[in-house]
Amino acid sequence: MDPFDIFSALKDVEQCWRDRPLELAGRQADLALQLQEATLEEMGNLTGFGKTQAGEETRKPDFLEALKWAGQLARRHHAICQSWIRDLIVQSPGLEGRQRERMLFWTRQLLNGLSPSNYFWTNFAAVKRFMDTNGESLARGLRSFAEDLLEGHPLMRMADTRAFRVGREIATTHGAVVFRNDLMELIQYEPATEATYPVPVVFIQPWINKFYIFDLTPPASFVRYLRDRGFTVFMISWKNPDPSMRNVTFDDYMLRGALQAIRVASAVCRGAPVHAAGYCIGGTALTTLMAWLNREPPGTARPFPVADWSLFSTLVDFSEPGDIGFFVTQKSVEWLEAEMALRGVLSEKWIELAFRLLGSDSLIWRNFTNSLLYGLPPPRSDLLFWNSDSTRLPAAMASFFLREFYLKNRLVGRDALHLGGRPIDLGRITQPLYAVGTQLDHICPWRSTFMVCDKVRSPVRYVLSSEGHITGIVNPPSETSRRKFWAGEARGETDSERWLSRQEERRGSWWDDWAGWLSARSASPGAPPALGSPRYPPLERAPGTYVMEA
Amino acid sequence: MNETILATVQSGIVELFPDVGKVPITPRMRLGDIPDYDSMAAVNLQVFLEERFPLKVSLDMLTEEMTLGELVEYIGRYVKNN
Repeated sequence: MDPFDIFSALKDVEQCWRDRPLELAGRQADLALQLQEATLEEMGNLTGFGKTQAGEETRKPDFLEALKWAGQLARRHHAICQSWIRDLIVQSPGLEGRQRERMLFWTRQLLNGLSPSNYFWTNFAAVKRFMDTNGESLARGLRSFAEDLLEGHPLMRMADTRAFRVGREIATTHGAVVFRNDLMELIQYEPATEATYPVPVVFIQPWINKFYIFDLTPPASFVRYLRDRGFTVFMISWKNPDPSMRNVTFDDYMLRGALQAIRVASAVCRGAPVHAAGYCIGGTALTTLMAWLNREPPGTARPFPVADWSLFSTLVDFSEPGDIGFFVTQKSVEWLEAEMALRGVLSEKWIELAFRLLGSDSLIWRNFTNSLLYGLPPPRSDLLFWNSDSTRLPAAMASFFLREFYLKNRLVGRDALHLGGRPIDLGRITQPLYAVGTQLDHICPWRSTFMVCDKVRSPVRYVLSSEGHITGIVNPPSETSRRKFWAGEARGETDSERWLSRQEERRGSWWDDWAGWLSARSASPGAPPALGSPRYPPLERAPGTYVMEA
Repeated sequence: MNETILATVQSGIVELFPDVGKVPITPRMRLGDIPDYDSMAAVNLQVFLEERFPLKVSLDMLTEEMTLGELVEYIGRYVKNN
């Protein structure tokens, strides 16, 4: 039972050092020496333990002082062990690249968990709070921990889930649901300008977590940003799957989700082809759809429904999927499939756990220290609130996605996949592409997102933004912004580093660059379309019903 | 006033990021000097600042390159003008 191949990687490290006992013993001696040196150095810093200056009175350290010192010493020891173990793995003779990275990833998880800051007696701030509040801080923390545990959050809540209400404080941009099927609702937002571009923007959102990451509080709303610049915006809000949706496939998301949304948006906007934009897995679905649409059987006279397409933090080549790939192994997929066979869905708990482990320092341990050891309420952050609003995945779709994309990387093989009855060949896509990657992305590493550039025949504008998977994309321009980005043509490019070395660093957000790219492809503004149409009448006010489903 | 703000920010950093250890928390310190500083760490810092001071801090300001001195100056200016 080793679904994530942790023990096999550990065994490989052990094998690597088995034939070099002397070298290993030398390293161990070096570790002991470093720990001893650090201890002696810290001893000198503890008043009363170290030497006193002439004329200075000697005094015994008090309890808090000694505790602060012990915490500091523990942190130094932890840091020394951390870098010793890291060096041992990195320098393991003969350990192959991916296996080495796997070992580094899992030991990082262990070492993050063992950080002295996560334990009461070695976290001085926690002890100080305890003393200052007569123990109330820890009592509060333990009460929250018990509550969270009983409500199914063993890692403790990341956000104050009562601080925001969907449709009241976040996801508040006015609009209406103009189409609904059993998989998604399509929201059309009201215009904010007297004239709008005839070509609408259709967001194919990821179905992991909710759509409103693009409509958080007003200053951070991507929808408002576009609407205020004269774009008509449509947004897919996916249904949170229940066990009855166990047989829903990736094809369904592509055709009954993305394609249906594009067709409805186009119909409402007087038949205009749309700007389609997909984020993360929504972008992967959009890419397969673009290949599918470019494979129309001969003799089909339908106009092409997409003018251009945009991908935000999207993988299409899964050969180097980054840290998330460590969770997806042959064995872990089989294990998840057995779990999904019982439930019909991939539980949101597993998805949340995987994402939190990717940034365990921030998303697990800092949260744990704040809530349990300091007894503080979880933070009131719109971003963290959204992050906690997890969704499930239908069993058939999740199994297909993990196997065909992550394990077999079949999306990049010509005609290797058949979706919606057609072979998928990315090389047939010719419509202009705007692709965005983010520098610190653990979920879709930017160098991997860059790999789309030579897989399609489209003209490509690639943008690299500073920040991570969420904050690099939800990136509203502002006067105080210190963010940066690099943007340039990238058609057919294979070398991301070489491409980057040719680009100029720009300050601020890439949103203005994208809005400019879209408007150049949008024809002249005219009267805004009505909300819905006779065929697709408004059904309900935004943000609709599906987003409320727990 | 800026000294008081700096002291509050310093104590917040020690509490939020105990692993900061012996890194000197001076006005010249960059946020990127905080071990494992990333966008989620920035969210934690943002929430802390908005709870302690009557101000709005946008996330796009709290990048690795920002120094504590610049942050304190921003807070001081904001508090004075609002």
